[in-house]
Amino acid sequence: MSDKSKSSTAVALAPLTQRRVLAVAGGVALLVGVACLIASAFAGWRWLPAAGAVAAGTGVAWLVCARFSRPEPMRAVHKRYLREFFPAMSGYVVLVLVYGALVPNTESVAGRVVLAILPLLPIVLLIRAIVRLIRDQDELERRIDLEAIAIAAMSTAFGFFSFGLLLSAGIDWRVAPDAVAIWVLPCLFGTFGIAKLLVSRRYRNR
Amino acid sequence: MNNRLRELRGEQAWSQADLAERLDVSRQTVNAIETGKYDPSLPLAFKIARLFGRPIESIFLPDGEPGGPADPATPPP
Repeated sequence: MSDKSKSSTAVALAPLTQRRVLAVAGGVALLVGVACLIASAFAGWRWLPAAGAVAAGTGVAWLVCARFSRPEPMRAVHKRYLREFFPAMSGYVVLVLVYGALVPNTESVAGRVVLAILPLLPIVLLIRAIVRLIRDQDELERRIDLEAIAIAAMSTAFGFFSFGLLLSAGIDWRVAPDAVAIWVLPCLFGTFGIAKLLVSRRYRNR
Repeated sequence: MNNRLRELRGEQAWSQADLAERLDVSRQTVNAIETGKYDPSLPLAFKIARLFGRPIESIFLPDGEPGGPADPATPPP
């Protein structure tokens, strides 16, 4: 076997690591985000710049996490999670894009409702993937994830509640109600990521 | 809680990753237990004890208790 074919076999058989997954996913998210930001200059979809900013920000965050994560092989439970997570999340993104493309031209209210509710279908699969991950990962990983989820849920919920109080206090911020609702998810994921980093640090080497 | 996991792992010449694979946990979990940052559940503690062929109390020691003998056959002082 030539050196070249040996090295290509080695690359093909290289173990899947969290670093590689984060690097690839981060690169893809960054490219999609930049593409959305560029497209927003030409397309008239008003949600496109925000979607592009969220995707690009997520991509940069994943690339930074990849830089600092260890190149250790992923365990079976995490590989299974990826196999379940990516199809579900891809389906969700496609259905949200379909919503964005079709809603402006859909006259019927029932049609717009269906388009808005449709992305929830892959979310059922996503919830299943997350619950299976939490159940089957090891006990320390489970503790870290549950602590991070608790922090993220409380921070996001009370953060938005306080934001609502500020708005009702008569502060002159012009915020579209749909934008407030749409930003809940990115805020929840973002705070979960930060909380997980902080909680994980508690269990690392002194 | 103190433990002798690092010492016992060293005797077997296993890396943290080797031990993690044998226990079906992450390397981070093994590291957290060894450094005393995380106390394992009873099922995991039993799994560790079975893997090293020793009673739990010879591997895990309550806080403040001086390191006891790793070998249960060693007579008490």
